[in-house]
Amino acid sequence: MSDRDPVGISRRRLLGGAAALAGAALTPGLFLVQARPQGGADAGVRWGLLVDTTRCREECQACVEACREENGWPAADNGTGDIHWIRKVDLQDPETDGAGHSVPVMCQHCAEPPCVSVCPTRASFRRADGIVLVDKHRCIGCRYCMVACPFHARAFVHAPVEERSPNHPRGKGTVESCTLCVHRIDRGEAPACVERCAEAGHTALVFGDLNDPDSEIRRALREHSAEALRPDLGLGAGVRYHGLS
Amino acid sequence: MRRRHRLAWIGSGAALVLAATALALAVGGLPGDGGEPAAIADRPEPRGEACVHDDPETMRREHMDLLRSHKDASVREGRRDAERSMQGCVECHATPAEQQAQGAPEMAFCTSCHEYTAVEMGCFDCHSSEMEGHDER
Repeated sequence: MSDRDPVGISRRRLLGGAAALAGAALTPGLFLVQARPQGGADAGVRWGLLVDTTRCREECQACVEACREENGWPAADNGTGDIHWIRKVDLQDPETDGAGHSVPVMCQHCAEPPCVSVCPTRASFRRADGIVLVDKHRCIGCRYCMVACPFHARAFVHAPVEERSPNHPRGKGTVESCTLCVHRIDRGEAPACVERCAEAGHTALVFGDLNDPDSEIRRALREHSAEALRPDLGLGAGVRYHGLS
Repeated sequence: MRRRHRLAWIGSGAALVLAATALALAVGGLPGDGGEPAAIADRPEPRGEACVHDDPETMRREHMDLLRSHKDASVREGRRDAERSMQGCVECHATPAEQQAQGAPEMAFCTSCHEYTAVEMGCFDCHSSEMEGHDER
């Protein structure tokens, strides 16, 4: 049968199309690759942070300031509520007089995030590469996630936003938290806090892919013992702390 | 007799409706006959030759759906496209500085139509309408 078939379709073309369809149905991954021309979050990657508490200085707020500048959230004392994407927490064992720790605490980007479990609108979600985010177009401001989070990592925007950051849209009536600077990660850069900590000369924060055995964070994790906050909860946090225990 | 009266009433009513329609068309013109509403005619001219998305008629009708699907792709899946982002819209459609200095709103391209059609637009309550920046959402 030739291509000049009166019906307008040759048997070869028909069979070819059928074979392509069957192949696509058998290998759904084929569609995934085709449907993502601009890449997108890589499911093979697991972004994580290592906080070396032995290098973090109590008086230093560089990471908090960097986050605020990058993502445009206000300082706590200007009447807009307690917005804190990242905050410095000073820890001391009450039974000993030993030196305490000062550590930054932000969204721990859990593998099993309670905020995602409780979200009634699926606004809280975990991206394929492990970053836990809020889709503010879906968020109804119920704040279940704020209650569910054991790390007090999320904050609610109570007042209209005056200074709008081009890096991160923020709006009254929605919940927000650390995005691990997802806009920078998608450009191939490290989060703002990590960069500023290194500039300040402390390098207490190491960022990288926890799934890649050759990444800087995996090398650091091989050298130092590090654990998640509240490991008893079994949330699989992407942020690990060295030197707490 | 009564029936004839009723028919006469109906006939004169229909004639009145027809006359009113003809008058309205004569004054206002047919819909879509080229005369655009003042809101569209008065808005600032966008930069560039054509929208990266689609032709103006399609964009007028479907921009909200396109924006929503782009938001889902970029926020939820991380598939970013700077040209088609909110910032991409701002790059071409923000009111030029000299017109802003004369008192035009910074996103007059959007607000002129949205005010005309009385559709509230909340985009820039949260998103930045600054031309500078790296937002790719």
